[in-house]
Amino acid sequence: MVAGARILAAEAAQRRRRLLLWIAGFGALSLCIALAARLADTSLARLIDGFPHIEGFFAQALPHLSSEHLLGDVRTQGSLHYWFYDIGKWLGLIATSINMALMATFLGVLAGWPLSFLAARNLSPSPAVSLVTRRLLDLLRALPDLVVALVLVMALGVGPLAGVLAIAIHTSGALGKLIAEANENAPMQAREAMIAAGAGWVTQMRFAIVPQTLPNVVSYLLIRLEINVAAAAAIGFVGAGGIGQEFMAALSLGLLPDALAILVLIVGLIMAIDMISQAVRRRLSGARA
Amino acid sequence: MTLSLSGLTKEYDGKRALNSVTLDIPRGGFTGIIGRSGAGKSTLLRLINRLIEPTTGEINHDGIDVRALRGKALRAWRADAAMVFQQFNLVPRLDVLTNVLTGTLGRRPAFSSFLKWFSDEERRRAVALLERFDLGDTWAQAAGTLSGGQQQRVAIARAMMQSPRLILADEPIASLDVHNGKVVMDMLARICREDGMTIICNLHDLDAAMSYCDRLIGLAAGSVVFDGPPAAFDAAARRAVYGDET
Ligand SMILES: Nc1ncnc2c1ncn2[C@@H]1O[C@H](COP(=O)(O)OP(=O)(O)OP(=O)(O)O)[C@@H](O)[C@H]1O
Ligand SMILES: [Mg+2]
Repeated sequence: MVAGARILAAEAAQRRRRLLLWIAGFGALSLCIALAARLADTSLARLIDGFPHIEGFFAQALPHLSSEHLLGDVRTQGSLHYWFYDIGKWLGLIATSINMALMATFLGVLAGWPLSFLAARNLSPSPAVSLVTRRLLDLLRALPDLVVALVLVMALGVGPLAGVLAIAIHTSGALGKLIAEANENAPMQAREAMIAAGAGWVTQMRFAIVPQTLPNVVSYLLIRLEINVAAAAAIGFVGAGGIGQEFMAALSLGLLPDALAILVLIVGLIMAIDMISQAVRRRLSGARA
Repeated sequence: MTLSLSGLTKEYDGKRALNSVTLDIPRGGFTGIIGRSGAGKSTLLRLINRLIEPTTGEINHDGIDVRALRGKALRAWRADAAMVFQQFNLVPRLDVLTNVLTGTLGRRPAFSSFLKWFSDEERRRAVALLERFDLGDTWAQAAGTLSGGQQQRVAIARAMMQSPRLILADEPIASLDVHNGKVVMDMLARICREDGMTIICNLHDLDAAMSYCDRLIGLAAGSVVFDGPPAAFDAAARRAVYGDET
């Protein structure tokens, strides 16, 4: 029984480590959300402050860059910094868009994952529940996020909340359907054993299905996050917050070099996310091979 | 008398998989169910656990009408009648200790189970079971990485974790080599002996059935055609159970 005590102690230590990881994860997420809210405030204030820039209305779209001043400071005409004069704010808005994508993915999986068990034909409590849930997921997925965002902007006002909800709705449908398929394909022996042991439906899903589909779910989540970053950048075009909204503001104010600068940042963002997500997914699949 | 079946019949689309089986299985015995493939062995065990519902017939355990159980009482019965499967049916990606702890799921509230909040007492029991069956070193390993024999022993530990009244083992050694088959059968025999556990075990290895069981029940085409101790299993009985199969 000495060995038993050692195992119990090791197992307790392992649980403590995992708990700490969870707490750290939730802390980081809350921080992101708080940050996104702050940035959203300032972007709105800046949008209104932006009106004095109206004298630049007829400025050309392309910035004047000169090779000798390229690396000059923000006051030097022709420098990169002069073109990207508001880079601090724009990077802040990029962070907002990334946070919007994170939150939308989080909310989407929060709704889509539970629905995926009801939707899976071989797991659902009844064929009717499965059918209704699958149609619901189809509907959520079919709603174009730009249209939903437009409606939500009218209902909730201009800002990231509308964008987050619109993307989350689409995400829940898309992830729900994908995970439902992974659930259907999971080996069923473990579930049979859980039923035979008297486990209820929720615990069957928790212990027999979730552990087996988790690698799939993680990779779907990463792909979805990548898609959602692009969506979050674009969804601002209808006033739903983030860098896209700043782009539209610059366009409508005729600040064409600004708009172009922001577009360059958006494209850079999407390419960077693409590369990071691919690298992470490759590492994950490599680690399990 | 603990478990008694009477007139137990199971039909699939009008075809009889089990034909009016009537049996009394007293506490503490090691009963082997033998018969050809398709004879109805798995059907019988699944009916007892209520993984499937009989077409007609009764199942009684210590005076309780098992067929009438619903909801929580049904889940408790399933925990009482622990199943062991040919393919082990562990969760391959979960560690061994958690797999054993899932044996408690039939008797605990869903919410704390969902969050994996097992009590210290449950953990102690799970670790004690692993230690008892020489599996202590594997506690943190993913169950899928164990050998077949080890997996089946973990599955039996999980069954014991259910604090069952009987163990229903469906071909527990059919996927194992001879050595591991013997280790697993020894484990079941030890549980029968030391814990007074009632064991009902489907076997298509007649030699194993002869040497481990104190009673054999022979099924052919869904009907009981032999019921007696291994010593009484003579050539005539063998023909009745296995037909002309060599
Ligand atoms: N879900 C089902 N639907 C239709 N028929 C079934 C079903 N399950 C079992 N059967 C039939 O019932 C009969 C008994 O099957 P059972 O699985 O109990 O046999 P068994 O004795 O366990 O055989 P084996 O040694 O191959 O495991 C077989 O004829 C089988 O085809
Ligand atoms: Mg069988």
